[in-house]
Amino acid sequence: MQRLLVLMALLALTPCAYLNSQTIRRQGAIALPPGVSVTTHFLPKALSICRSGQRLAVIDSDKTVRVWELPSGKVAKTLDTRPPARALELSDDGRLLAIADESGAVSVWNTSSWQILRKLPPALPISVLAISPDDHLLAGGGRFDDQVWDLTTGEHLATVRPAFGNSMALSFSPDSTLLATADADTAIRVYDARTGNLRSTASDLLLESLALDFSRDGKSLFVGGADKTISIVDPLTGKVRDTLPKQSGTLRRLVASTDGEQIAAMYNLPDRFEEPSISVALLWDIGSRSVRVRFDKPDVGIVGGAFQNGRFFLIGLSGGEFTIWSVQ
Amino acid sequence: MVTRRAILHNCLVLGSLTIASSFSAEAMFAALQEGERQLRKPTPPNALGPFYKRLAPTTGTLRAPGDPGLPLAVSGQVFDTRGDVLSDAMIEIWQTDHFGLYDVDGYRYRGKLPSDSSGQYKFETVVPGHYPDRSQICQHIHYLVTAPDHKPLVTQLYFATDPVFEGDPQKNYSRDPSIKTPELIRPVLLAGDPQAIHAEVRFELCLERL
Repeated sequence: MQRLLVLMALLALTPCAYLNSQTIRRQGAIALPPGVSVTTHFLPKALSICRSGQRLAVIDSDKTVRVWELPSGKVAKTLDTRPPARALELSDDGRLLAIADESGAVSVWNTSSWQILRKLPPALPISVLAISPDDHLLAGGGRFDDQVWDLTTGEHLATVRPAFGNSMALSFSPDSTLLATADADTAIRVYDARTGNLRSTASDLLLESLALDFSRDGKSLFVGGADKTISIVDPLTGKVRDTLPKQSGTLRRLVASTDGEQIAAMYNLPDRFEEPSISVALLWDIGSRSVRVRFDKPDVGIVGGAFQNGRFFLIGLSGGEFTIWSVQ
Repeated sequence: MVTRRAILHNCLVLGSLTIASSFSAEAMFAALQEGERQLRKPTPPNALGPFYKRLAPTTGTLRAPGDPGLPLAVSGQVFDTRGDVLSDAMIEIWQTDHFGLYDVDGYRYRGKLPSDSSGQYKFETVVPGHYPDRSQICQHIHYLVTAPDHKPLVTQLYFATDPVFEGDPQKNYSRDPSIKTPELIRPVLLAGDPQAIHAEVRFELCLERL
């Protein structure tokens, strides 16, 4: 009888184990050079994975910028920047890399030729950057204001100022016409990207949002943060259309899928606020408001990910190496 | 309350003050008061977030009976850069509990309170804890101060007794990378008897005019 019960229990568990082995697979690893570590502190943003999932760029502990090809892990470039790099961002296709240094200057690199395409003069220190999908605009957020530049001319286009504090995250709409900011006063503001004219304000959120991303059709803005939820905001009106079920940890990163059906959301462990404690990633199905896949590894600091060919590639940091998982 | 101007007027009437000028006594009093005004330096700003929460309750009592942690009374006065007291300021404060955790689900250790007619404010709380996983970030209380016709002030109050400073905040303040000036680090007064010890801190606030 006991053997029968054990057999029944094993049978009951088998589908879950099978499902898990089918949904999350380790794809590869990138070892950091000996003695080098990566700061995954939330701001300044010192790590970027391009939306296409082909490149990873990092400012490491010795202030060197390292860029790797994904998923091969081949080193694409090592840049020894002076003044030291402070924040960086890859363009969606990975062909541009913007690096803000400690002086507030921003260098925009062509990642094929590794030539500097544009050098923007020093201003206030920048903590977060965004490059428009058409590669024409660059936004930089620092203490008290956000700036927008035209990358083709180098012209400074706009300055926008949140009510107080700074912006924690910036995102351009897929057509590059709108810039969304997650501001310290808890509001989500959407601006005309070229003029800086305010288009909408989502002011219903009680807590600060730390991550945001447009849906690929540009009709929705996904935001999340200290409230542990994902709010779906209409970028034209600022109205919150829907809120996905609340989780136990603060939401730190969000990536919308290209097919418009999924959102990858990365959360802190409960009651832990600082990276590298981002150890939970959920793949949400937007239509059904349900979790398709849960990735939960307390010993891994999740640094981000990207959708590629219907799969989500998740990158985590543990024991001096980046590990890449395929989540499907 | 007897005003400074009334005292000057009495001095003039009683002969202890003489005005040797072609300007009126009132004009001279106004000029004297303007000259006596202390020009104040604006309180240095600091980061707002990331755990600010809107719609905090209006209260000066953040600590509940039996809360763990050292009871703390914080008081101060709100000025503008000309030295005028701001009696219509709103001071919003939020902090972690004794264990270094913010309440993001409710409003524990969050509140807002108006300054009184002499610009004074006071609230009762506990000394906030260090973040559990980042002990180099000093204990702090967040402030968001607003007043009509003045720029909002976003800043943080730190404690000179924080172990990170090793007793010398003037020298060691930059050990916490978010502290850019020791001006935001305030001395701590321990008061009460050994069975009911509590801490007191003064933190004056100075807003810039729009």
